[in-house]
Amino acid sequence: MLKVDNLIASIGGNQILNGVNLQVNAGEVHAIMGPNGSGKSTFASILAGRDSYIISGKVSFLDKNLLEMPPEKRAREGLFLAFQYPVEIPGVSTTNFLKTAVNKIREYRGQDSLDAVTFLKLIREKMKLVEIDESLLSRSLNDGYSGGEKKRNEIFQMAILEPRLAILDETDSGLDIDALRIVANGVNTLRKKDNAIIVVTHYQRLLDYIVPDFVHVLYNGRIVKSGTKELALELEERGYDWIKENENVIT
Amino acid sequence: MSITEKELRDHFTNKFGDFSKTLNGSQPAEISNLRREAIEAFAAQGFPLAKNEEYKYTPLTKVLLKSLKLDPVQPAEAGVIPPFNEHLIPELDGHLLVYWNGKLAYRSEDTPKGLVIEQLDSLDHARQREVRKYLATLTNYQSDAFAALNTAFFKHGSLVKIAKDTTLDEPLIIYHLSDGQSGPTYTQTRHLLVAGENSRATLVEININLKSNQSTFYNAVSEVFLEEGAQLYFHKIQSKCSGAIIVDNTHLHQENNSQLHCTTVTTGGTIIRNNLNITINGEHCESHINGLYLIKGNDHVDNHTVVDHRIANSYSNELYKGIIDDSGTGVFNGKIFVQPDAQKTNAFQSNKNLLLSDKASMNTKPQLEIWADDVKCSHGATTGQIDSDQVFYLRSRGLDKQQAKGLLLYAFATEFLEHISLPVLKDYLEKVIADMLHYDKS
Ligand SMILES: Nc1ncnc2c1ncn2[C@@H]1O[C@H](COP(=O)(O)OP(=O)(O)OP(=O)(O)O)[C@@H](O)[C@H]1O
Ligand SMILES: [Mg+2]
Repeated sequence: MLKVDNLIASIGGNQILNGVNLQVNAGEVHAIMGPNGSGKSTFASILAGRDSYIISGKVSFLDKNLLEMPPEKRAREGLFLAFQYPVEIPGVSTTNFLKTAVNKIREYRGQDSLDAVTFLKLIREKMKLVEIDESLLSRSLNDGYSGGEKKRNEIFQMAILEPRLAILDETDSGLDIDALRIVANGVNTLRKKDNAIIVVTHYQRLLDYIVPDFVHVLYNGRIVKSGTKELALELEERGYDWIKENENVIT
Repeated sequence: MSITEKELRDHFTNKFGDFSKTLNGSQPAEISNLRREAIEAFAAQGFPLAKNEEYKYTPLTKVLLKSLKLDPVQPAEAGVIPPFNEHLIPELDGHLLVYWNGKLAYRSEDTPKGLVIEQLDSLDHARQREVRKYLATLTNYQSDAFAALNTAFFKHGSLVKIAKDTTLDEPLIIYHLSDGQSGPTYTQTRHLLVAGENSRATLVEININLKSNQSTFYNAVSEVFLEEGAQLYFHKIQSKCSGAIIVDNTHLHQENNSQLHCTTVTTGGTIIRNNLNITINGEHCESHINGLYLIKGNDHVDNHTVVDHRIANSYSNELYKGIIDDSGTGVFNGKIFVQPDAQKTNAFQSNKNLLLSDKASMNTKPQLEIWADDVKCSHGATTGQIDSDQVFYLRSRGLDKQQAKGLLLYAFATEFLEHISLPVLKDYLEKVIADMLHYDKS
């Protein structure tokens, strides 16, 4: 589904990604872990189409060249990023832009656009799934939301847009235990044989709920170690030092 | 070819004699003296030049000199008034006054109870003497050439009185239509409105310029009095002013417990200068002052506001927003004065601008002068571009670039709509703004 080949990215003269390689197949869940500043969010936002970087390498998504698509086309092809720091947009509510978003995606897929009633039904259904309040959805997007509310809203959007590939960038940070379970639930309902999920996280805890098929460690802009869910447990126990040491010896 | 400031100034001062003769007998000494003082003040000041601090960023005089050829610049004439219904805002119902090239062309038949409207050119001497108690008491013709010019030459306009304890269910709607006629023209409109004690009303004033390729110079002065406990929604709409040269001097005076919502919406014009002066002369007053300007092409829009807190315990909140595209120019100058007696004043002001092109420009200057010590005041101004993180966020959800920007601009621009008291007007403005920003609301 997603194939990343030697992805290199720099900004303002700093090279942040130093050759990332990753393959994600349909039906799989991949976890990406790694110390602060190692390039996880950079990687995620480049996949979503942020254009402030100088990029080389190849990325294909559903056998199409992802890097030459504008962000909206990636979304319409089925890629979704739950942001680590969702931006505040005064004056624009979630329901406000989500209807346009849904219908743009449907139009791209050759489906009829949803009328107001059907859209509302969809909203209600997904609201229940992530236990989000209707009043939140009609407020200015992320404006004055608590940390947890922002994250829940991201998952709500994901549930509405039903992406083929969802990338969750630290969606678990700032969530209380109940919220974590709810969010994980939302993610797991998306887990189908045609879909794939990438979770970026610092904590093994989330992976108890969303059990990954693969765990990768991103360090210094490269994936330096990959393994199965046991790797996450090991990282939880031992930290990153042993990986950093190995890595520094090699480079 | 341009004329000189001296030539244009002389043109008007020379006209004053003839103009006075036409009024002879129809005005008492109180009014003719006022006019004489005004023309003298005008002759002494002349049109403001670039070195005039108040007009530094707004080259009004330059534009006037280029557009108003000396001959035949003259007062606009009503002439034969064509049907104008198509130009009015659809379904915006209320008590209507339509001015055509400066003269009253239509007035709704039934005047609601508690509303009295007279025309300034039809008052007898005794009424004019009474009116003089209000007339030219707020506007400063000694220091503003345009106010002086208007005070010397005004002829038409409405005198509106909303009686004590009256609630007007329907808005009062005043249209000013200019058709540009065959050459450059000017109008000197004058309005006076007194909102009596505990009255409630909505006033909508709409400027429409019908021929954008003809120079019309619309120079207006309005003086508005809010007596104790009065509530006034005042919506000034300049949404079809392409090609117009407008100087609007609006003065509002508030007494105890009065509440004002004043909103000014401008979507362009050759050059528009709005002076909005609010004097808060009472306790427990509220003043909500909002403005939106959307500027494109080579248009120029300047909003100068003054909020003068003279008495304690009142509140003012001012927000002006602008979006400027192409080679448009915006100017905002907002002064807040808090006088020594105005303790416990809460006064806030903010000006926010988005520039959409490299050639667009904005000059903003918020000013705060506080002479009392126990007050809460703040002011601020920002000028920037559309936030690229916000655009990216929306695009990552499937909206294309154009839609994302349109949505963000629309959201930015429509914040003031909560202060529009009429749903029909709100819908109209939403549509005007969406069209202007190429935003598809559906
Ligand atoms: N615009 C920029 N200019 C220069 N450096 C940048 C820029 N944006 C990000 N970086 C740097 O890139 C590196 C990677 O940042 P990134 O946000 O991808 O890290 P991360 O792995 O997501 O970290 P965290 O776990 O803290 O979220 C950091 O050192 C960061 O400072
Ligand atoms: Mg990050």
